[in-house]
Amino acid sequence: MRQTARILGWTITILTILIFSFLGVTLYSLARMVMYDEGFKIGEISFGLSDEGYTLSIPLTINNTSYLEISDLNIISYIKDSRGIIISNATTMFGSIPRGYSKTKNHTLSLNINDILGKNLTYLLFSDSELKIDTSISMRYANIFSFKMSIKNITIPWIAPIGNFSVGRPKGPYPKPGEPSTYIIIIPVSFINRSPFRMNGTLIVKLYNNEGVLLGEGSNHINIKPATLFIEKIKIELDRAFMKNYTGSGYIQIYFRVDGTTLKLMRVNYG
Amino acid sequence: MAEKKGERNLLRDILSRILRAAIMGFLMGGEVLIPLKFMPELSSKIESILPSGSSNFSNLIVIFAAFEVAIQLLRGTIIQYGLSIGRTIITIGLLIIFTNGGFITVTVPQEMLPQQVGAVQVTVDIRTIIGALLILSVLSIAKNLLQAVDFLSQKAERTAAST
Repeated sequence: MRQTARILGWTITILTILIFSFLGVTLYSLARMVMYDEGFKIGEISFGLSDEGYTLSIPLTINNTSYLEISDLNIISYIKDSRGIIISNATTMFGSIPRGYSKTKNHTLSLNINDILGKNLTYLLFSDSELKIDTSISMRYANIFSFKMSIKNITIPWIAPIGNFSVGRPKGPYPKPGEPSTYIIIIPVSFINRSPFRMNGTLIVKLYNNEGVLLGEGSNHINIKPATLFIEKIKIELDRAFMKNYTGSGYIQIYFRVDGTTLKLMRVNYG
Repeated sequence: MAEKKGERNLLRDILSRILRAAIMGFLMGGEVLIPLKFMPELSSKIESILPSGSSNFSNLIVIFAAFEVAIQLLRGTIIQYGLSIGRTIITIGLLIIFTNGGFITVTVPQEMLPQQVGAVQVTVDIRTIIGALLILSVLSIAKNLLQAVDFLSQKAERTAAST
């Protein structure tokens, strides 16, 4: 019994020494890689702008100079609005990086108008706000330790692509030249695109009387470059027989159609 | 004369136990208390890493040192093994509580972050290491039990031999 206890004692001592030695070596190796060998290197961050929207590209290089393997290295980012609704996300997977190997990948975050419209965040089209980026970096080291770093609420400013949107008083009805049975009502619409996005889609205007009867609709295809003022008169054609419904007051409903999705923007009363 | 010699041996035994207990108590935790005493901010920094709700770090060191002192003072008795087992059980519990079951989470203080960043949190999963240490603790309990049984059987043998 005494021998068994002695063997157990030695086993415990040896295993404890082994565990703590391993722990020491792995932590030293990881710390050396991060602090002295620039194992995790962030390259030059590039900001791209296209017709579709923003892209933020972050080149990352992992140079595994440590003694052990890095595995399951993933980077996940979410772009959210100020209320926490996820607008878009990006995932970069490095996979496994054996010791002595290096890998470089771009972590690209993108944001476009379709992302915003798809999430029904129309308020972002009209008002300046701020967006939040949440990033999570996770990895396994030596197939034993898991590390996860969460960077939350990185704030970036948001500039509305449809700023100072205004709908003027409907003008008319005027008889359409050459078509006496058709009348035209003109609705002036204006806004300024201060965002870096190009606003490309169809602006639809529907005119209703004060009883909620649809009088007619007009649309204009728009393609507004960044930092451009948009002033347009949208024509609505009404049949003479339908003119009796026009009471001079009611409301105008504005829609924006992009990629087959029609979005209700706002309602403006007139008269 | 023989009585005086016996008293002297007893005194020597007590003194050697106290000395041994002091040295081992110092080695098994006492030395950690010195930097904590002179640098209280170090203690609070360590406590900030530990999961919330855990008690004062210095108190825990005192508990471990006290266990070691008691074990050394009661060396050669069955209580020594009981205390060793107790200490191991407490170590297992504290290891699980302090490491939050193997997940250590550290939040980077706000003042160290750029203005645009809300919060940075680092989580380390050390469940494998905790598992290995728990196995060692179980082995240690088994060893102490074996030693206690051996101690009792030796004592019984001595008693039988003397009668």
